[in-house]
Amino acid sequence: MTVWNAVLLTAFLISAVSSLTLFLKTVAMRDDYDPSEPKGSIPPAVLYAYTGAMSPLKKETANRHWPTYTAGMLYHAGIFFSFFWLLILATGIGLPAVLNRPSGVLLASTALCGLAILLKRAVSRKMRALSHPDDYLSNILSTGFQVVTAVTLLSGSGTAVLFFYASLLFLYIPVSKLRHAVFFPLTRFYLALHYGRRGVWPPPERSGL
Amino acid sequence: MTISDERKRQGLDLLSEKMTGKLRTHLNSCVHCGLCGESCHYYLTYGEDKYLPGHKVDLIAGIYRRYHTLMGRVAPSWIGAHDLDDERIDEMIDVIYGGCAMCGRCTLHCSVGVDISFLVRTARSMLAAMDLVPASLQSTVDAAVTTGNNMGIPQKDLVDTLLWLEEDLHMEPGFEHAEIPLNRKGVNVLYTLNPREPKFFPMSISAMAMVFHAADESWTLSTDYYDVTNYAYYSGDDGIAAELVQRLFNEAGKLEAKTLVLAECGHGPRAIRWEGPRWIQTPYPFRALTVVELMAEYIRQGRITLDPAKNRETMTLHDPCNLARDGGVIEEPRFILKHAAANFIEMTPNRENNYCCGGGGGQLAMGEFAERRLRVAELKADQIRRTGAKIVVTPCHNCIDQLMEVNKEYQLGVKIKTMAEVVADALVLR
Repeated sequence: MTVWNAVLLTAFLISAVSSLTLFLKTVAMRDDYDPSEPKGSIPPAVLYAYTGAMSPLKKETANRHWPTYTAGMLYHAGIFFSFFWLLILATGIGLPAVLNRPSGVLLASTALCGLAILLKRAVSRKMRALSHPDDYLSNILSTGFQVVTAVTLLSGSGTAVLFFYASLLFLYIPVSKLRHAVFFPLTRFYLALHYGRRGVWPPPERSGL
Repeated sequence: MTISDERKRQGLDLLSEKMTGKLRTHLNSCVHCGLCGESCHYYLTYGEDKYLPGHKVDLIAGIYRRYHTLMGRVAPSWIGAHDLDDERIDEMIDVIYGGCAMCGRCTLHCSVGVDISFLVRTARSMLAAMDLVPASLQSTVDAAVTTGNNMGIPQKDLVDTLLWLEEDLHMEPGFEHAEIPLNRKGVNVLYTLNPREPKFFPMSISAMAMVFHAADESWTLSTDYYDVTNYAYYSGDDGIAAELVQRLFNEAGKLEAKTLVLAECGHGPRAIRWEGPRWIQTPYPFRALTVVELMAEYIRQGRITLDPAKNRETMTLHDPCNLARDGGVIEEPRFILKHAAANFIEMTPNRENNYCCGGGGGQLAMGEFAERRLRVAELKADQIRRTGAKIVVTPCHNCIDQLMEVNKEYQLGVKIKTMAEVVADALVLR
């Protein structure tokens, strides 16, 4: 194990333990006892919360903002793809070298999406009003992660830089807006409890009108 | 406005007391994507940053971050954590009370799924704990607490009105023996009222009495506690909200009613049906449902027969936010209108995506923000206008009040009706 591998592993463990603690502490917190008689069923609502309700056709935040939504989806896909490559490179699992170039190009593209979102945040008056320094840094770190991964894959060198960069990212997750990655599944779950119990999710069968 | 440190402490303590897994989750989930603006009728109308739902989230989430997170204590400005100071409190009153109808449309469309209206109500609870509820809203709550109904109607006036309505009802062909029973024990249905009905819209009570008569229902009204509204839901005061629910709960028990039927209202049924059992921490031993659901049941079970030809004018439906989006009463009103109206046309958008009429969130009770309330309703006025309907039906007296003002303000030239009125007009007596 190289020094940079060790740094990366340490940062990952700190981040994972912190994030898991955050998650478990939240899950373990008391929730109000709700004795209201349910109108709908929770399990299908939970399923719907992670599937149908996430459909861009169902969300104005998607279908009224196609460019931003598309860029956001690609940007997030790029982050997960970068983590995938980080795992590959850090563990030394050998993948055919032929995959490096297309993956690098793909990540460069998704990084551009991240950059576009960053520019929108910086340029739009509405977005500036809503943003804190943390929002910018979170985006810069996540976009940069994709850039560094792309460069590493395209150049065939620079894993030390990638590991160092990823370590910074790992350490920043639990203390920043990036912690939404930890809370996102819970958010959908709580929403499913709310709408499911009341019979709003999944949408009831239409009355035929 | 200068608020003492002690009162601020009360607000912060309330936030800590309310900290559940759900609250903590939603406080940590907003990513400041800013895409929620176009789902909010305030932001769509004014285009001001302060009306962005994400900004409303930040008003309370920033306080949470300041007092409940490490980064908030170490580097507050970096993550947008802020003190609960006088300036912030002023902004909260202006936006949390005066710039949000708690309609939940932003919640449904949030890219992550943050329950924004839940956070807004939590912020209202903080303000209520600091004794900062807008005076007009608080006076409505106080009236309900001290007189038993939010309009302060004396019991004698209520009884006189109901007796007069019953006499009047007997003059209608087919309803010679119809009753408006008062305080009758052991009935199936204890029916509630929105105090606006006996005060301003008594004919909606008659309409419902006709429906009950046609369905051969065993029902009663209470003259002690009958108010379906619960403005403490909007003020954010859980203690009073629970007290108001407890009164109805006790009344249903006293009268040994099997079913508590919630009159045409948006927030009231939400408060009683969904939030009430949690507030009083007791499951209801009786069935609680909205009158819209009950009328749909009557039709399904063949207990009432309707002739849509009796309502020929083009009709559209306004979905009350608390009833549809947060109460699941979505298809029932459509099912009823399918049987009661010959020409029904949907607004766009509709059902859980419908826009608030502007009167939600206690806005109708807050004269301080009346100008905004009417201005944001332009969106609703446009929706109605586009349908070309002559009648707007909505199962909520709060919405009715607002829509009547909207009708006048935007010269829509429509009639506004309750669901019970439409059903009563279509009744076919056997």
